Amino acid sequence: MPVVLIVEDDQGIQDVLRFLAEANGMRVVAANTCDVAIREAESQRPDLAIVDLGLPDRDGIHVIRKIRAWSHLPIIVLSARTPESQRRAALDAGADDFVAKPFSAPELLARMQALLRRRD
Amino acid sequence: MQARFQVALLLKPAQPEPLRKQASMTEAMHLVLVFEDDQAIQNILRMLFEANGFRVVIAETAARGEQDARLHRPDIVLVDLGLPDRDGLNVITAIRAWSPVPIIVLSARTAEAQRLAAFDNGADDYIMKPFSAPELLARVRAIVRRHVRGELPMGVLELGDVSIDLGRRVAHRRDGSDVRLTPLEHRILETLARHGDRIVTHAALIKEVWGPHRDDSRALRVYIGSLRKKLEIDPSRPRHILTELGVGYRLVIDTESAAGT
Repeated sequence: MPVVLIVEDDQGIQDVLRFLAEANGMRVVAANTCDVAIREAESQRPDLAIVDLGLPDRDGIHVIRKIRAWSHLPIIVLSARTPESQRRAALDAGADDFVAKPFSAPELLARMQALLRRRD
Repeated sequence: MQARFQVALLLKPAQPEPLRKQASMTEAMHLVLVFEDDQAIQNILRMLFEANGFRVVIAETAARGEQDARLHRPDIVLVDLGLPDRDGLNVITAIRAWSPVPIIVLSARTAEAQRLAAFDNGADDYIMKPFSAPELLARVRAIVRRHVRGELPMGVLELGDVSIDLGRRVAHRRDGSDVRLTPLEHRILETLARHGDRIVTHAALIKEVWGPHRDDSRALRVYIGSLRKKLEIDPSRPRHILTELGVGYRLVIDTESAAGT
């Protein structure tokens, strides 16, 4: 069962993501701050991470860079920051995909599965 | 028609220096196969990728592109869905039947059902037209990066006194001199490296390097010989690229390099 790390401080969105992942056979580890996310990534070794950029303690880009320093774990950024410069910054920092909020759950799931398929 | 016009407008200011400056060795020699029948978009994509260190092959039809995929063995494929002879979804399915190459859909079809169908057929990403050139480039880089790191056991191979950076496709000796490998030689090494120290049969190696419709073991022998000349201290007594008589080849990597990346 693949493990998904959800890094999201909005409880409502976190719940939706949890439901989406669990309903599709994934185990969820959730974090609502950068620091917790980095700790969970190291201890839980997830198969995929979904990272919001606007976190309360630090920017989500920081999480991506920290994870990329030691892991090839696939990372999807899920953010309301839609300017092209933000999307490029996230991808250049090491994210594998960028999905804008508001998002389509089926499309996000398809993108998650595409990344997990590669891992398999 | 409107979508095409918007693409041109978006891309015009985006081609220039800032993009060119981003070119790095990471993309050096990577080949992009583009399935696209619109001449204007073809030109934009060719300019964008070539300015950033990629090689480009463009196919205007599904049939031509599938031939090109087998012939050129691209590192990444961009597929427009609205091709003149067949739907791009069929192209994805056809390529997926024999190749794990990353596939990005670039399409004016915005309906969610289309995007989901593309992912279901095996696409790795879906970008809608009109598209932003810098974002397309960032996504292509991300996918190439992921493909390399996902398939290779390590980023740098150490074979004797030669270091080969598989991601950047560059090789040099300990004294700093370059070792020039052709794209096919890189691909053979990548394929062998992906299998660790296990034997890769002649048939499997040919299929992965040249595609499914070629059976040229003579060419394989020639390339293996050339690789040994470039990488082995004594090509007649290879220590790294070993022949398993009648079966195939096996790559022996220096153990200290396995901890490399």
